[in-house]
Amino acid sequence: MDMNLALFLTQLLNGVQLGLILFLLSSGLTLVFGVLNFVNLAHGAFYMLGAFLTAAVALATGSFLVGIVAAALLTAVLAAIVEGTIARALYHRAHLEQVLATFGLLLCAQTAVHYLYGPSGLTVPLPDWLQGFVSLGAITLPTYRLFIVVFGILLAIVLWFVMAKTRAGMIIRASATNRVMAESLGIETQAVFTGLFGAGAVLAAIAGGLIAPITGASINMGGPAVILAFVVIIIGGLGSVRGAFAAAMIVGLIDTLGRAYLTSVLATIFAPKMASTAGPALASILIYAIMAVVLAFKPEGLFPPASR
Amino acid sequence: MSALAVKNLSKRFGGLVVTNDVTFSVQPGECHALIGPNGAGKTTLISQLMGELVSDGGTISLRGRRIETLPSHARARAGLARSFQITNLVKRRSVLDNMLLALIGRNGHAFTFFRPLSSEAALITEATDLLAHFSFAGRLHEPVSELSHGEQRVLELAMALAAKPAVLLLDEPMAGLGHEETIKMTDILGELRGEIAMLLVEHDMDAVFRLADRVTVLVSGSVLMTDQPAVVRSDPRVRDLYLGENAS
Amino acid sequence: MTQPAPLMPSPKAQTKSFISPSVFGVLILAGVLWILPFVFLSIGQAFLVDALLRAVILAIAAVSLNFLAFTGGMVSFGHAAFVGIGAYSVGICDHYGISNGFFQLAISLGVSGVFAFVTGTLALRTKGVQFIMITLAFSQIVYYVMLGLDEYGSDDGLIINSSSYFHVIDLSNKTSLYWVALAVLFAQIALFRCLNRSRFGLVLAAADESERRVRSSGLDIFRYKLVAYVLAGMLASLSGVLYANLTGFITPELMDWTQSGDLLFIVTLGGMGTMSAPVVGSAFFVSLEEALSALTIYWHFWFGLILIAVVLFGIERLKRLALEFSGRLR
Repeated sequence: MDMNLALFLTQLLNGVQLGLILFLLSSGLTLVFGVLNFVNLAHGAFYMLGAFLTAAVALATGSFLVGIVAAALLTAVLAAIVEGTIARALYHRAHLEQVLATFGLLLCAQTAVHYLYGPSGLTVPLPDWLQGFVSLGAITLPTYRLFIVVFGILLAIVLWFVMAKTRAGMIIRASATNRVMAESLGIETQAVFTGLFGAGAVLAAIAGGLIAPITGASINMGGPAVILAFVVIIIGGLGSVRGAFAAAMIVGLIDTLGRAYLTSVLATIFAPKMASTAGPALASILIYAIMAVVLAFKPEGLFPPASR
Repeated sequence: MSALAVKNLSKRFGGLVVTNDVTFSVQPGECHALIGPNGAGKTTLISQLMGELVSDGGTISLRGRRIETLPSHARARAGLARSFQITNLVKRRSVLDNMLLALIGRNGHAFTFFRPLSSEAALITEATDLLAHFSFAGRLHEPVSELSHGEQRVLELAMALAAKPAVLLLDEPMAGLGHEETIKMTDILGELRGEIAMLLVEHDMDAVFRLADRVTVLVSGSVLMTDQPAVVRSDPRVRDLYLGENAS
Repeated sequence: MTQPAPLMPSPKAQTKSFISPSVFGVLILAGVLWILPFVFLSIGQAFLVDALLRAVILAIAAVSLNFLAFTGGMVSFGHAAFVGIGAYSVGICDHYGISNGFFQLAISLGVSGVFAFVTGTLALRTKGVQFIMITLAFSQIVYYVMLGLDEYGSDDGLIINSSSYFHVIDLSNKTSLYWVALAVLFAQIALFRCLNRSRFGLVLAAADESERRVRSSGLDIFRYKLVAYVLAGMLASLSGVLYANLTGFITPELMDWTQSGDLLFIVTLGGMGTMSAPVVGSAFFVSLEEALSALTIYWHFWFGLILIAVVLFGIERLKRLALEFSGRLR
């Protein structure tokens, strides 16, 4: 197969994989913001904790899958505690205060992990069946990345099903578009809030656990991730899971393909060292520029939830 | 030339027509009332006149000058003033500050950085006089949040008048007022009759028929009739409309 | 969260005393800051002077943000970008051998002004959390631009070889740097106090509470907000210029969103009640950083807790608690 095509397909897969990870990370965030009107920077902490818990449990038990499941469960408990104590007190406060308080929470989580696991983070061992490569016809792709894509798509389908076809999903959507109406229909909103907050945290933790074998679990991975997640949900539309999916894919693809191709394009004009720093930066700039344009001209996002 | 001329104004939200080919005019000095059942589209009409909503068709002329393409603040400058159904005052600031704001907007700008407001004697004198006329003397430095609802309404009206507008849009000025406050507001509006063109949107039928020179009836976004109060009052179609409606 | 805007002093009260109470407070603050370095040096704690310098330079950035957020209701999560622009104006000029302070200053004010104008035009179409996010996006763009330019050091940072040359003032001298920083800080505070009491301040404050009111009075809010935004951005860049002269070494981290977050924290700490509140917030912030980091490498944990506490319990209540607590210790 043509080298360029093989490279393109690999990068395409990477882009889709990143997009799915971003989707898992941002789907919870968009619902928490859309329904609870709560800006939660600590969402990045759940992502990071997911990575570390997966790593720790996997190292202890020898099983990656047990690690992810354990991370998800532990995060659910942690999220419930955080929601009951801190988040609940902030629902009716100004967004600035929510930003500052959850930023503080993120710092606490990061330092706690630093204290427990040291400054260099953890690496996650992969079981044999997830290592290596898989050949699909003429191309070979890394097994693990394929795994993430498959797993991610399955989770996305489950999420879609829950949101569109179950009563729980209906309640969430009703609360997202019109909280007052939802409450007047007798929907127990506090339970919905706690459940939503927890579910979002679990999804973020799973995302962290999935990415950990590739990037390792590092202390500072939460900050940039949560900012990127906010970019995704703003582009997609606050409160819209559909929008989060579309935007996550767009961002994932632009970031991956951007990094891969912009660097080589720039390298034809400028010195290679310059290109290698400028390329990734340009990809990031492009993403932020897209968000700025969306905010300026279609502030409700590309796929906002059905009318408020 | 009429003070305000509305011709063939229309507005739809999706498939719903909220303003349907509305035509009427307000003459200088006239008090023109706009009545109609709830949901007739009165507030939407006012929003279009003020520029908060963009109409889909038709024209609006203020003293012969077309204004339907101007943004809100430009229409205010052109001589169109409005009192809001829900009071829109800067509650954190004092009565005087709010009036100063109205005067500044009238034909000035606020790009002065170094001159303290307290030193603008001419502006303060004009504001104080206006406020005194509406019985706010001695309460100049009270925060607006401490005024009663009725007093806030009067202040809003005073601020709308401060701009010496050509046309005053009054969006339900009696709403939420107690009996005494309603009488006071009606008196104030009565004093303005003949001096300034007013478009009065109101549910309070007593006030309407006491103040208005002409009445336009709006039903489901369309104009049913425009005529003198007595004629409108005795029209059977209007009677039907308000049968069952609580005409206070 | 915001306290009520200060009411207009009645025309009578102004002639009562020569110096009004709030001016008196600012003068005391200036006096304290003027004396502190001497105090620190005399007790042999020279490093505290460095911390004080940092606090003052940080305060310069915080004062303009305080005005934007408190008077104008514009909570910007991208204010650190202007500090970065100021710092890199000095750095890049120095990189090409230009150490003329006036030239660097012109670049700093010019670039930050243009940047604020362009980004403000887009950002001010939004409000609330969208405004927070769009200002964040713009500052991240600046961050990535500097991160991506290998020529100016990128991640490794940029060393500044000589301090800005202003003919009469020698900024390589820490004392001179301090006087200049103090002067810039209090000139800014005076400027914003003036603005608050002028027509401009009234319109901004009114627009924050009721845009409809301002528009129906005949004023175009957008223009006023944009002017405030550009002014604040240009003044914040001065903080960067001074910072570059203080440290002699700058990295893109200066413009990271966490720095903007720190600035917002400082403004919140100060209480947003007056234009000189950020000075107190900044001093407290730097002291906290210094004290905590001296105690443990895990100081961010306690810092995070304090952040949460400040927000949950409100700065006023915490101040009262602190006063009570220290009263009991005596």
